[in-house]
Amino acid sequence: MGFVSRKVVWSSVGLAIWLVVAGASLSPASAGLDQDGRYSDSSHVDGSYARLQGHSFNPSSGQCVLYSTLSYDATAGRQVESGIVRCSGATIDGTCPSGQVFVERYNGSAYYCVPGYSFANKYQYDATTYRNGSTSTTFTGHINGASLTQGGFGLSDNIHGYSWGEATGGSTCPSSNFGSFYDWEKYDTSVGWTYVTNSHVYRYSSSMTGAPCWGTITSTDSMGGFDVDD
Amino acid sequence: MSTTSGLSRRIWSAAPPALAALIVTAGIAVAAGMAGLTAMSNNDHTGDPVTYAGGQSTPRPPLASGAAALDSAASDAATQVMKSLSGTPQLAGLTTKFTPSGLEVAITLTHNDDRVPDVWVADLAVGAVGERLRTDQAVANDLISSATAVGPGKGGDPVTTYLGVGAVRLGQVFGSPSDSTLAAHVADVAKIHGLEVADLQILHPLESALSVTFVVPKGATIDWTIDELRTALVGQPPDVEGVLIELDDPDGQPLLQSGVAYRTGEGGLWFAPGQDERFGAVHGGTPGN
Repeated sequence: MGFVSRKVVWSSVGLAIWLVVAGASLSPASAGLDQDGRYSDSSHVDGSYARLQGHSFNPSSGQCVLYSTLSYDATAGRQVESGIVRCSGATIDGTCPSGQVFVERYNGSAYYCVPGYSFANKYQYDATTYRNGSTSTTFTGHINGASLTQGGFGLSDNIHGYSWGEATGGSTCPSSNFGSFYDWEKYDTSVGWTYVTNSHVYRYSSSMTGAPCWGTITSTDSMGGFDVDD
Repeated sequence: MSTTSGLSRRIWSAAPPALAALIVTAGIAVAAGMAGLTAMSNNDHTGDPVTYAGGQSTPRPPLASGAAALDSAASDAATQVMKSLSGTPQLAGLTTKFTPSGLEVAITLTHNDDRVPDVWVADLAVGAVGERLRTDQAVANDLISSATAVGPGKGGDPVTTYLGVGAVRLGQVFGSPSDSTLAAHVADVAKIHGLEVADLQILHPLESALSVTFVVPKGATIDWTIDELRTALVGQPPDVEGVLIELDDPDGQPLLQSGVAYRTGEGGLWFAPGQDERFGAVHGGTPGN
């Protein structure tokens, strides 16, 4: 049988009994968010690259902690993000699991994620998001065995590069978290890749106890590198 | 205090020789890519791939050599997948082609707005055709070099979705139970989570895949997350090769859609405003969201 379709309505009495029995073991849903890092001063970014290292993650229950670099078009509402993630009782977009690198795209309404190979905290991983030509409206993200492409980016646009630590899900900041972004670079199709020497601190938090989760965001070094630390 | 420079030196010096060589090689590749504005990927494939299923089958013997034989095998696989998903009217076509860079898969959909259900159906087909054509490749994106889904969007113009194929182990065996067992389990899970089953479809790309629409009763207290609901439905490890969950309000308006295709690893998440927090749906955020 290749196809089954049915409609089921359960009795309210039976449902109430099950809820009473099962409810005690279920945890409340929550999805707080905290983002701490930097974004490029330039709003004409055609790509963002960083060598990522997650020294510590420690996600709380139902939470993922990630370090990533991304290109975000605020006008078109498009994003491609490449990073490393560790989770506790959660996944990114239902599929990208703890301990694997990932690329996620956002098309203006939905998120999609694809996982790559596993990573280790003591090593560094090249993460890129970029478009390969001045007339291309598609950005592609890469990191260690994961790739994903998103169309619909603008040409005369409002695109910044970001690199950040992010805690997503749960309601409490991770207990200890420290990440480094080495050689953070931005791409301009007319110039090439250059270090992000002009950037701004970016912070956002919602429904996350203990925020900001990364209280320290260091200045950039001569090659755009910086750290986020709790 | 910035620790970047010092840490960088320590890490490089601490790396084992083989890994250090790999990192250096990858770094050179990236630098070369940057100089030429191409080949930005540091596709060094270190670490372990993702394995979702609890079972694993053995590699298959090589396909017959020669372009004609490969094209024939690819065509046969596409035909078989189209047949196995014939109960999915949105899937209009599937073509496959071996190229020097790998297998290219093109899905045609009757409609495509790059929505979670659109991508999920296409991902199931890509995963199934890849599995049928695997030989000794380790992971899905060793075999499949590109996958797209194309179909007319709401305005009628074609919409192209670039499907994701991850570093997901080939040869996964999910051990799907019978349709009747799956349907009974979905009903049990609905009851436990205070939901009503509005629609259930069981697809068979190779094994089984679930598409379930639940109605969330008005005023329901949600004391579970979407990840917990998915795990309750398919188990850990999952016993199906894909699952699409839609949560609707009592009027049938979608609140959240979550689709995962375990053979390619791609997952999608859509939610109405605020419903990600309500159902504990974890996603990477755009700035401020």
